[in-house]
Amino acid sequence: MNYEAFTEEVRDFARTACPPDVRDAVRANRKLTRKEFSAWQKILHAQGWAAPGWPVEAGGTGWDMRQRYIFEEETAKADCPPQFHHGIGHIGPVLLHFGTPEQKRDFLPGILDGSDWWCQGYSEPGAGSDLASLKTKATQDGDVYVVSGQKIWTSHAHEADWMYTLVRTSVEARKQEGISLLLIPLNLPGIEVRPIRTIDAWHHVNEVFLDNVRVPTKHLVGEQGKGWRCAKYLLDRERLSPATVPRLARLLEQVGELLEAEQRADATRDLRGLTERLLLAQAEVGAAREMLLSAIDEEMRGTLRAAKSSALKLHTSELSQRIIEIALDITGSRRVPGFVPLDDPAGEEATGAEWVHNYLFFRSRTIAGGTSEVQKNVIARELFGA
Amino acid sequence: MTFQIVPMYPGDLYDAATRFGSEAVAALSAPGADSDAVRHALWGQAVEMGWPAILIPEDRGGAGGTVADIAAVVEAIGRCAIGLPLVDRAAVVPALLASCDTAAAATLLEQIAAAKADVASVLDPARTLVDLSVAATHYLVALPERRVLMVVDSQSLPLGRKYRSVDGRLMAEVMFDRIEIVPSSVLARAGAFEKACSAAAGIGALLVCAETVGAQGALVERTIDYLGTRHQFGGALASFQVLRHRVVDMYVGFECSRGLVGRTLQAGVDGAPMDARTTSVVKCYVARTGRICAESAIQLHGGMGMTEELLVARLAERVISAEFDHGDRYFHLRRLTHNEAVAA
Repeated sequence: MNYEAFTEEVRDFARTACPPDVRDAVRANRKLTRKEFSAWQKILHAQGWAAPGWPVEAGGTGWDMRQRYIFEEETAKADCPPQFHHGIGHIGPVLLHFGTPEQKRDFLPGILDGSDWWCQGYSEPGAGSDLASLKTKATQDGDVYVVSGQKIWTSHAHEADWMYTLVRTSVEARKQEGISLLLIPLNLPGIEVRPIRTIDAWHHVNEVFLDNVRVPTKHLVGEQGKGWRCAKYLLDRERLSPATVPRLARLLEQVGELLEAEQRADATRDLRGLTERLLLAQAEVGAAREMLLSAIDEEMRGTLRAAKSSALKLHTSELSQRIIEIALDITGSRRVPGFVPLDDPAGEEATGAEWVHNYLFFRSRTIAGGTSEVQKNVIARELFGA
Repeated sequence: MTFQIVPMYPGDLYDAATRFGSEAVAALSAPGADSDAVRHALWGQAVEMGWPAILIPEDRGGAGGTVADIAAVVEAIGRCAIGLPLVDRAAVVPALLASCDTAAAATLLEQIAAAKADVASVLDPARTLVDLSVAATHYLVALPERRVLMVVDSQSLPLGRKYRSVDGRLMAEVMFDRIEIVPSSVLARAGAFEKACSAAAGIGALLVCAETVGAQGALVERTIDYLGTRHQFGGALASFQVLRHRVVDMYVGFECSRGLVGRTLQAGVDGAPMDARTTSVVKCYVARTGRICAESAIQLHGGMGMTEELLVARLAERVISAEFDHGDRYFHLRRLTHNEAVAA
């Protein structure tokens, strides 16, 4: 594989293929919506690059991990959007592994070209870190499951067409048993999506209430009662996320530019303390990049240990918080009091407050998708052998 | 009953303000509540309770109280994150007016004490936004380049774009270049101007720290309570050592902030002149422990810690925001390292 030629090809595409308004939104670190993500996914699909991590026969690119990293790095540098992960990164691979031929035929094309939009119905008010204690009930009634319960922290449910949902089809001795994975179209009667107001003042997450929703049994993925395996499948399979470090590096670069702009705007402002933090962050990002590159090498040789990929995820989430905090301190005296303009609550125009929105949003990076505390326990179990 | 912190200034003022705070939280959280209207009503009650008059001398019709008295109230309502501009109206403004040697300033003090005027300040040189959460009748506007402190009636203050702050307050840009200096409205000039602003900013900074101490205490208490009641993996989260230790860290930070702020305020009560260096050290310190406490509280509450609905999340937002009132840590570090001459 000629990685240099590949890099040039991807760089060229990244610099030219993304619509300017989408690039502007990414560059301004604004909240991205289905509109930007799906526009990009469509463009990737037309290029044949819709699914960098899928097998070629399923519509994937057949790239090795190093190529996938190059793709993530070049698209991050060029301010193309990251790929929206629920379809391509979650339910798509699950369907590839556990789905019936009909399900693959029905759902994979819409995932690949971005015309279908997915969200994840996993967490519940009583089932956060302890997800297996979930209670949303699904009872079979002929050729449907009747589903009742409540999901929470459902990112982008307000924009999605489908929710891949963990439900309880039976109560067993072990709570991981009796869970099933159901694909639920969000336009069915009995579904209510309610926004959750979060501290970052952008709309990401929702509560989803299900009241006797009748879901065709053909939307069951894998075996009834064995849905936990589907949930764990991705954790075991997709260990490395090659996107995180490039996005972090780009963010850091932008914070550096912000600092320089601030110094130009106010020569009297003493920015030495912030400069020190930025320099330390540059070292940290460099270290994280090297860790990722060595993990990629190991992954390609089949020697990657789970502890290392988990450690990378854990570390980059905390590092991203430290980096965005620098931006908070650069802009905060102006942008913490002047946060959301009353005449533009949805943030149609970039104001510079995006740094503050992101600082607040990034607090969830050590909570969502497994808290740092849980991740450390997982890593420790491997390190200590118990 | 779960763990309760010991406030800096327990007593009747603290207790009355605590009761007020609980009712205020309920009023603001009521479904469909208009937060601006509720705050306005709450401020009316605060005026009735005499809080803006606490620091006004008795010979001007005020209560002749000390900084400890106003700190007791500020600490108590700091536990509630209700967004009332108490520090500005009840401390910064009286400090500014008391420093001015003019009849106009004296009259304003009397009017505030008599609940006939509601005066706010536009003092902070680090930013150009004014807090509109509660309407005022007059604004004391500092114009540092002209070295003038002026009183402007609220209709005449030229305002630009309006915002919500991170902690939910209604703010507006002040269009300083449209403010004309009217000689009869000038309360202080030149050296007297700088002295007044410095004293007022100092007391503002210290009382924002007192408010933050209040918030930190509430964050510690509520996090302990939450972890005791939140069950995952068949047990309360409070049984997990890592989480217990993080709360301990929050508690240690709280006690340090409380001690430092309490000591500094007490020096003021004892009649010592306000030391600008000490104020800057305290402001830096509380900014740091406050933010760590706020971020920890969010983390320990999991997803709930990210929601506006939760008081802990609002307290965290307020602590993070409070750093940027009267100078953030870098503003104060600059003052400390550059040894800028500040009139005490």
